[in-house]
Amino acid sequence: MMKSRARIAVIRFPGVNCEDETRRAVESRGMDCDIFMWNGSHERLVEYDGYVLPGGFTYQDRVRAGAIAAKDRVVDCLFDEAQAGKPIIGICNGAQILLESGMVPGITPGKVEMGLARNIMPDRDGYYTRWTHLRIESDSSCVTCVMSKGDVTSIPTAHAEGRFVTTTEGLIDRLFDNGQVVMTYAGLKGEAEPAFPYNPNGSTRGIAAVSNPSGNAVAMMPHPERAVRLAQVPESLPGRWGAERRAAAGSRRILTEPGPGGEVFKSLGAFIAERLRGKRGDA
Amino acid sequence: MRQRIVLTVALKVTDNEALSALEALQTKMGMADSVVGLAREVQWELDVEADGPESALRVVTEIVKRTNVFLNPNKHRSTLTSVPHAWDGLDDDEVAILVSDRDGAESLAAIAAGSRIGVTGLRKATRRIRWRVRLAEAPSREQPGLLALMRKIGVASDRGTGLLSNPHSQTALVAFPWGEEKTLEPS
Repeated sequence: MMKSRARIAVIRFPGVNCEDETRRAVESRGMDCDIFMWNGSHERLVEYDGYVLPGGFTYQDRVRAGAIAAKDRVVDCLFDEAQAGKPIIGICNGAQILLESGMVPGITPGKVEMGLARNIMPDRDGYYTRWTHLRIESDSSCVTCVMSKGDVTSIPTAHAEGRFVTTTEGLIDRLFDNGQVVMTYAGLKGEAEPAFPYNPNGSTRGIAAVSNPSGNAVAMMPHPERAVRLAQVPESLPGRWGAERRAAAGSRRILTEPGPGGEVFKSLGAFIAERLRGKRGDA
Repeated sequence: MRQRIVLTVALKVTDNEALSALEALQTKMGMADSVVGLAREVQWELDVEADGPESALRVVTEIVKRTNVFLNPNKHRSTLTSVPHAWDGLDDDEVAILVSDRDGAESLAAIAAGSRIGVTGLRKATRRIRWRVRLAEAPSREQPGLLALMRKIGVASDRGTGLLSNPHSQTALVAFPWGEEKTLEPS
């Protein structure tokens, strides 16, 4: 019997801190969502239709952000589910886990092919947070499938280790060619490869999100769960979303209208619906 | 002229980061039989303008004391030396794995020392982590598989191997107690 609502598990590792707002963001787009403990039963975990690894500081970022969590048994289970085609989104620290586990970019599945290095910013170091403008580079991933290539959206970032890097020759070009670069940091009008602060961490060619070849596993540094309602958008934000927020000032629309991050979770729901209808099939 | 002094900082109290890393190696990566201990030191390479090594040592001592950004004397112990060998101080059953960022930003400590606290003379401060890995059996030059074991500990290659560095953002080298060091590449 076909299920009416997709079920998502948000994985709670020790040290994450965005699991509740991520659950609310998923639910805001009509999906059921549970917070699932990292040491929970794998038999139960595989019953879900999709997974989100939320932001935070797993294992207090000890050794390197995401490095210890990437060795947890639950990641083996998620790896198998991703190979089977289920969507998995890693947000910020979750993205670090997906890269450290070799799930993304997954040219050779399971091989660590990229890193998320310390931010490089002029005259400062460490943690940095700001709203970023993002250009959609691929409209086939599980976080962008309801968007169009070339769209510009705005989502906040907050991290100290978010610079996508690789030593594998030709990998970056290959990721762009394959459509695996899902989002890049952009200027206000979508200009490519902007300088700091539009590129907030010095990421290679402004990469903000990368997927596996099938587009069902995505490592993204921006935090869409912090932008699912228009009320979360600052009035001072330049660009389309700031204008919408200012236009809604003083009305109830602020509380009911979706924000830019909602599109990410809408995409997740659409990706699952399509998969459950069998149009996409197992990867 | 530019002189380099190395400040080595370690916790006096329990190092939870080292404990977490050891626990990951032993229980998540199946190395309980080969790795029995792990300690961590932070090494700061501090480049200063000074007339010579003794003058450099005085300058760095003053910088470390005045800035309070490299260590907290209540919980850290530290030593200042000219550039040490990677294997200095290792016990017979230890190897060292040193991890550095490939293209790290100028460290916050250097920025803070220069622009916020007003210390002059510090030209560069780079940071690396020195992990001291205690093995169940003392390593030897002839030991088969020793370098492979160090790779498995030190360089993330795939889901199951490598913890202490990501080769895309960091470099790692291993140093043995008999006075030899090698770059660690992914397997």
